[in-house]
Amino acid sequence: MIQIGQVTAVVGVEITIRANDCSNLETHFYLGKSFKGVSIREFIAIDHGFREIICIVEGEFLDERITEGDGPNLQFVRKLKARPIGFFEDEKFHDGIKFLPKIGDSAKLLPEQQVERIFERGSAGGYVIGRLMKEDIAISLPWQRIFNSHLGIFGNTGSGKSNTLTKLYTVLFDNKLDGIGASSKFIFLDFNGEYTGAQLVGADQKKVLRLKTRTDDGDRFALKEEHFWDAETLGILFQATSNTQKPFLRRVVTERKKYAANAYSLISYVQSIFRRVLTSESPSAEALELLKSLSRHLSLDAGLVDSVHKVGYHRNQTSFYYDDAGIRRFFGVDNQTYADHFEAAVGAINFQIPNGFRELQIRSELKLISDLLYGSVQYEHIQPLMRRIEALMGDFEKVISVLEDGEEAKTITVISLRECNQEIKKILPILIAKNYYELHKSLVSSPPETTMHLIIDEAHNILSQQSNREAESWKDYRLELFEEIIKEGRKFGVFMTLASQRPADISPTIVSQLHNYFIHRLVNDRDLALLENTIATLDSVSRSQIPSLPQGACVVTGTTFDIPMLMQIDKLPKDKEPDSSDVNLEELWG
Amino acid sequence: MINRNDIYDKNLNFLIGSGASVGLLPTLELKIRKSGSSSSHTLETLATQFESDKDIMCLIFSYYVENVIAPAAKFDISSLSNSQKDVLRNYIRFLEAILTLLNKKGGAPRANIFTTNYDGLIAHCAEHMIRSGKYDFILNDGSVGFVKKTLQARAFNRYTKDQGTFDRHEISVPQINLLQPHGSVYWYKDGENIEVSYDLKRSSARADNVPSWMDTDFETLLGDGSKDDSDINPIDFVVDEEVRDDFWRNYQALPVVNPTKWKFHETVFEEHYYQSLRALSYELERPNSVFIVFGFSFADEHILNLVKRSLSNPTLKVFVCCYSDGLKATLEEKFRGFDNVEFIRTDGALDFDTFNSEVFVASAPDVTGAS
Repeated sequence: MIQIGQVTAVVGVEITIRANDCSNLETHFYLGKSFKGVSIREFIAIDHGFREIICIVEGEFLDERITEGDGPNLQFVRKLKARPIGFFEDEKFHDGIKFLPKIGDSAKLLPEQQVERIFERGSAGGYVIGRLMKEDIAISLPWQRIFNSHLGIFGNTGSGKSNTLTKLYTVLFDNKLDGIGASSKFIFLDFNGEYTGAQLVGADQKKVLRLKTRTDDGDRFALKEEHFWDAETLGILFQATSNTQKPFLRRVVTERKKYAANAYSLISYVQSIFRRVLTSESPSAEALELLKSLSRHLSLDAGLVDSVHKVGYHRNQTSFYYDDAGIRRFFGVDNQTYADHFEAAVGAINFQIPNGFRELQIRSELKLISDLLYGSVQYEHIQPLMRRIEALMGDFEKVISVLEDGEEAKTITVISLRECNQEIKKILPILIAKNYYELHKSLVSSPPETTMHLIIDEAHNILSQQSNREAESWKDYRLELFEEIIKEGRKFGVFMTLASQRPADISPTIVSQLHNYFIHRLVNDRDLALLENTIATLDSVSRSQIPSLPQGACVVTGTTFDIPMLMQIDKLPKDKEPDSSDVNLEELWG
Repeated sequence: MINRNDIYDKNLNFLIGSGASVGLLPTLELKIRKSGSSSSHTLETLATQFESDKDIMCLIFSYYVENVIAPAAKFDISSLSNSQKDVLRNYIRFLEAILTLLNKKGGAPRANIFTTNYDGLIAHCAEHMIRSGKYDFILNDGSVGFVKKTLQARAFNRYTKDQGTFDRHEISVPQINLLQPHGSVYWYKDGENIEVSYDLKRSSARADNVPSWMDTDFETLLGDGSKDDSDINPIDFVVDEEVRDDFWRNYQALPVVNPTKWKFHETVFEEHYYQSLRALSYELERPNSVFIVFGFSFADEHILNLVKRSLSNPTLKVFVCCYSDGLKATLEEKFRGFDNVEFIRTDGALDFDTFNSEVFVASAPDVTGAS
């Protein structure tokens, strides 16, 4: 061991060490072993009987009043300020300040293997994603305790977040994919299409869904029928208000379930609605409008559609009339007009029952008409929902398919939202997260035998706390869902990994519930303040370095790690790195 | 492979053996094999074997003078082929690397090169570098004087500083000490002193003055890889006593250490060899020293023992470059039990070129093409 000085003062937990000459070399050789020299954030050991107290150097001072020797190089007295972080006893590292050194105890440099042991507590080796930045020692992280926790990866754009995220999972899959087998599912929500190539695992071992709203040829997220026909799900998709629109959707769903057994029921329902609207004693103009749009949406006989469109509403007489080549024939109580023009056609209505969104549209139109006829609903409250269904349906149909049995999920699923419009980017992740979460929750036993990992890069896209565009209630719902996953998920074996460049935008509830953090360079004051307030395990030295970390370096801290460590994450090979590289202007403009 | 960050702030010492000058000057190696083994003789082992036979010794040393010393003494830097210039280029790269390290070293930028070679290649290369104007450093060969330069051991402790005209600043000039514990072909005995003169005419004339006596049969034998030392029959080779004495008289005036374990009788030279070796042992025992050995096989037992003794310094780190795996095994055997010696091997032969491009690199790594 290289002795580098003696303890000269212990004030509280601040230890002053008087350093010997030559202790400021970058590397020391001792009997052929190399030791890192003393500098800030370096570790030193102080002998304390059978224990070695490990301290981290926090400062270096020169006492110019005292010089030593009178050779050509005047030797000044160098002093080190250090803070204990733990101790070694019988080759085992324990963290926490339990012992403090005494004046006169000698300070020594730590050989590399021992530095490694400070960080590698009980990990089984093999899971190496990077090296300690200063010591340049490869560190194996305890994967057993990383992947059963929620992870947060934060850092400014270009600081290496995506690389860290990808490296975390690439190394996991490289080592453990066979072992993972069917017991766990990994879902990557990929907003920018960064993981659709050979990243993470080979392209044949993962399922990539490229959702597209611009064209019709994209993949579709398969939703099981029973999950689609769920008031909550539909509420998310069409941002239904909880007071009126969601109960309406619930009625639609219940009604569908009620008559599910009878395949013909929908047809007879349509027939009865036609009859009832047109022969109603108190005709409703809105119902007529709905009937017209219904007849368009259903692939009905062209003659019938034509006839329905000839029906008008006479406001003064509060009655419908049939425009028969310029002659208005009113629908009377005797219903001669109906019998003449509709009875036969309506009786002959027959159509293929559509599914998915078309079915939803038709059913809600039917339901609304029927509710209007009974007077049990305010048309103005429900109508916006109908408009949204009409407007969004086209986009949703391009990205969601409703299947009777759903689809067997692969171990690794990447869902790329790169070619989706903003609206879909906002809504769909919530649907996906909810769908997987509910599905997993319903299957899992206690304690969980299977796990589900939801990985969200650019998480501020959907977890941001403020948004000017969306309704308050919708935002609450959106955050509540993720807050529930993060609060309750662990019990069901559901874990989230978030990566974001604006941690301050993400709900503090979510950030503070994360267990482990990989924090890259962050310069924004608000982000730093958030980290300070929410991450209990982050110490002041590490925190002060966050704004000046180089690319790819991050502070790793959290419940899994005894002490925060500064790590340089290995860069992935070109074909494995996420498609988020910087623009090479030299190549572009050269 | 030697991390520049690990060594730049240490006391830097180098030992350069004949392996560095390969391609430009012949080595001690011979073709003739040792009897009963497949390895070949060097002049040193052959001379040790025939130590008692005066005639054969005279022949061996005549061969040594003609084939090893004379080429070094007659070395003319202005008439070289391209492949020979490569050797010089490697010396320059080596010196450049040392200067790069020295420029990063705070305080006193000094390094010591010890060399068992008695050629003047380092001096010639340093001269070339300084004259080109691109480098500013001092090569201290231990000589003092103007018209007549003489060696003084204390000259190695002298350092030069550039001082500002108004005494406001002073900058240490990087200095490389060149110590030659086996002598140099440019040294001349001058009474009680050793004169240093890089005059080419003078050194080649002296080499020519040695009345070497050569037998063509003997020369052929030494160069024949199918023969071994049992083929040298002493009866075949007889040298006239007068000629022999004349040879030895002139030979002993040469300021080079014999490639045998012979004790040298020239006290003036001997003292300087002793001073250089003492300097080596002092330097190695200083705290935080680094010692890089290249082209040297530690066949000289006195240097081997001296280095071994200094290895008790725990803060000394020795890097020994091994030309081949076989040599590495031999050296590991020699240094068994010393943790501070690290043996360096590369894929393929570790020649001077590989040493400069892979092992001892002080400039920034070439990044073109790397991701």
